[in-house]
Amino acid sequence: MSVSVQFGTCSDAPNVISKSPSLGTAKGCDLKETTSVESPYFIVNSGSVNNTDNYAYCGDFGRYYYIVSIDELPGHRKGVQCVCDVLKSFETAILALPVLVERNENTDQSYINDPSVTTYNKMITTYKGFAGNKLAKAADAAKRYVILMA
Amino acid sequence: MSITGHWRNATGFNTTDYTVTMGKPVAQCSVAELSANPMCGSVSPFANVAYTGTASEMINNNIVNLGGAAPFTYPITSEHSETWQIAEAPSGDIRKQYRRTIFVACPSNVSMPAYFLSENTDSRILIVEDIAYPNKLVINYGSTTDYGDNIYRTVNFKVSSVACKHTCDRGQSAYATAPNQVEYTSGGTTTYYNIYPVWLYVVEGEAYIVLYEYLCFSGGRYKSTDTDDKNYNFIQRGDFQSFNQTTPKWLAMGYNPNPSAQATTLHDLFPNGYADPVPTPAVFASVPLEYPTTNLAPDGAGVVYGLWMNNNVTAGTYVCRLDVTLYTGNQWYRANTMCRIGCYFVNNGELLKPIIQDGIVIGYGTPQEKSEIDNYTDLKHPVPTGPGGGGGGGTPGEWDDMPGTGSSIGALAGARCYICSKTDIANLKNWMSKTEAQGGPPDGYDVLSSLISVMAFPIDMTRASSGPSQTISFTGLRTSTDNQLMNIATALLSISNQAGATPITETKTFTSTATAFPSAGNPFTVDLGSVNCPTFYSSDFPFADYDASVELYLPFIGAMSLDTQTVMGNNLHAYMSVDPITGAIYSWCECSKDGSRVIVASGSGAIGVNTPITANQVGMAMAQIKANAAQTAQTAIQSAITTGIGAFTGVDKNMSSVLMKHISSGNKNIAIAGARDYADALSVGAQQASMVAIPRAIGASLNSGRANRQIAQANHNSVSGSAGGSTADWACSYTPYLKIITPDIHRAGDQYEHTYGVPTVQTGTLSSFSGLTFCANPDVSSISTATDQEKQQIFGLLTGGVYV
Repeated sequence: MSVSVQFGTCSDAPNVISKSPSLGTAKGCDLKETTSVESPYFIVNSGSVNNTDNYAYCGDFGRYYYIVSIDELPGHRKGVQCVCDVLKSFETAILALPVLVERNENTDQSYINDPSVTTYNKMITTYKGFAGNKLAKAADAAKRYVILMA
Repeated sequence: MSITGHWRNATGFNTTDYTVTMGKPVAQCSVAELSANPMCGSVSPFANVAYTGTASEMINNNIVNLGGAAPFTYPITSEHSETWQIAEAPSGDIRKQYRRTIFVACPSNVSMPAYFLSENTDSRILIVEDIAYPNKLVINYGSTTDYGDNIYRTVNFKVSSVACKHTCDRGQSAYATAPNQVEYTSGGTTTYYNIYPVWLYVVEGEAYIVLYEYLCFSGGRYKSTDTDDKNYNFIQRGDFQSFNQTTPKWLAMGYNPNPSAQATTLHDLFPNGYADPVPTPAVFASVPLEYPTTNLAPDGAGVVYGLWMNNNVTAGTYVCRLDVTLYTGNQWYRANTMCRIGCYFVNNGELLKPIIQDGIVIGYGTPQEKSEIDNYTDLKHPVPTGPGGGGGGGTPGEWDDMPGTGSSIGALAGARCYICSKTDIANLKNWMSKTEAQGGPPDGYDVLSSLISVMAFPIDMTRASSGPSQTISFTGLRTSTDNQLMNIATALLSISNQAGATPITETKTFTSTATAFPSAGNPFTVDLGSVNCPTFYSSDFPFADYDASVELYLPFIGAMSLDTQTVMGNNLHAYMSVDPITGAIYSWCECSKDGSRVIVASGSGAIGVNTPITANQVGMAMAQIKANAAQTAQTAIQSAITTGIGAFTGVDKNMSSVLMKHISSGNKNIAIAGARDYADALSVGAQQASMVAIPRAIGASLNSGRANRQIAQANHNSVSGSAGGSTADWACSYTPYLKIITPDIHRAGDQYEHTYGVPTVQTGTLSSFSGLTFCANPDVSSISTATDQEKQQIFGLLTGGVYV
């Protein structure tokens, strides 16, 4: 079976959904006799893939792949072992998923207690005096006695 | 044409008469001609001027009097305008001034024009009032000190408005037909402004005086920026003059003590050094802001319309003048006329609009914005119903919400309250220890029975509402059958217990040597200040603030916990209400939260400490004295009966008078007690007693009672009181404070959110989030094109965290 595959590179982390790979033109290649769409083995001419490539796209399979290994084969050919990048391959469907997000980098529900935050085993004590207090201790000679008479 | 006069040149005043001839341009004059005659070549300075003045007028420092214009009447119905075309001498040569005088014929009930409103564009036009003639307007042009720089000049001058002032009326219709109003006329339109001075309550805290309308002439000294009023008003609409009771600014309202002299003598008020050539009227002395204790004018003839002055303004006949002078701390302001005065109450920084009913301030309303001041409330001549009212604890009402309202003295009707110093107390004790012959209280008068309590406080109890220093007074009664002064209670007892006793014929008040401030005895409120309770982690871990604890310390109350969620991040304001009678305090702390104020803490305590002389001790001592006297009398009477000195043949109607005669020679307090026992003796068959022996027995009881009383009185001074607080408490902090205990968070660093996220717990499509996202149990079944293995991978990735 012959399929068309684009080889290239991708610098995004594996857990990034919307990756931005840099892919070359589609190259025709053969499949190893027994392979799967999740982890196919492509056989291509030596010039179709560089040893620095780490990413691929197979339009026939509708999937993006990480390049796991590149084998040098006889007859100026190379064998490329891939594994499916499910996040990029199903990006649209994943992003459309209705989900419950437990933690997020940018959506801050500040007043939910975060058990992961570590506190020291000591407390901070702060004193703040009231300003503008009109209560003052009077001088000894001040009029500070009250006589009540019948 | 020639004019002869004295001219003044640049080198000095030359008294030689010069004849000035017109027609030769100055540029054509030779140096010799100019030296001989500085006016060579000039035209007549009086060309095209209807009135040129006389030579003698010109001699008068080169002031050219243009004469007086015909008086125009008030209110004016058209603008008065004049145009002068004045020629001056060449620059650097002549300095002179032209003067025009205009009189305003105000009606008889108007004292003087308030001000003229003129229009001119020449800065050298000076309009001055003649201070000796208030209704005279003098318009000056040019200067006798500065050189003119124009040969010809046309001066346009216009009087477009004038206001005459009414004197205020308090029944003196001869002085005003429109009492309490001022008239303002502009362009033929007359507007009347009512004047509503008010009493102003300042219980505690601050109050603002707000001027709602004004028609103030400042004589050019204080210029506002209000374009509607040119440069004549010094206080703009809504200006505040704030003060408070604790630190009152000196604020006075003056009045002319002699209105009839206004026509020639205007009492301007600049006692603080302004170089006004008028004496400082003594009656305009500044007075402290005080709660008015009377609504009567100094002459007692009516309501004082003025505000902000205490009742010790004693001079003068008419207190109601529109001339008011405000002195606010460091500067006097003069206003010839002031209209519409109102007030706002300020409570915790909020402006509270007074509620007026029938012209009387009966309370305060909801907080207002400062910009709402213009919506003033017309106040008539309110006579205040004071906060708390009189006896009986005060009348419930909106005033009772004001700090410091209510009255505990109301329950003690007739009691008097004094505020004293330690020296006053010592003087009082010293006076009490003296005999009548030594200048002490009348013999036989029990001073202690009039003293209910002496309470000591650690704070100065003098309030702004305290009366003037006054000698402490005691009151006794005298009966026609007794020439000695008796305590009121004793005298009343005497009358009620004795048949045929004569009524009270005299009440006598005598005084001690101690002087003190009388006070109403009402509770008052002390502002303990405010503080903002901070938050510590609001920008990163705000939830941690709620793991904090907040304690509030209130002086003389102690520490108490506050609701963290209520107070953190909000302003707190504490108050203390002090009852000067019992020494008790009630403190509370308010919190501003969500636009309202809530009390978050309160407590009761004691700040006053009973001194050795207390009502309880006095009462116990008196009871003991009477008990001793009664026992002595009973023993003596029984002894007299049993010895059978004489037979008693019936109740002698003269017994009472005889007994009273004996009583009058001894201590009446004790004698009355003895008399009671005497009556008891009669009821058990004392008819056999001797009319001689019984009075002797009474005399013995009196001696015994007096001795006991002296002992008891000596003990009073050495007994410690315990009803109030403890003086040990006085060593505490007098300032409230917050003690805030918060957790100390270990900072994970700036990448904490990026690498671990923060609690979110929100639902939505994944695309609505950004950055690192952890999903809880995501449902990936809808990804139909993925294999099951891939769905499991997606599930694992979403729960383990992906970057969207």
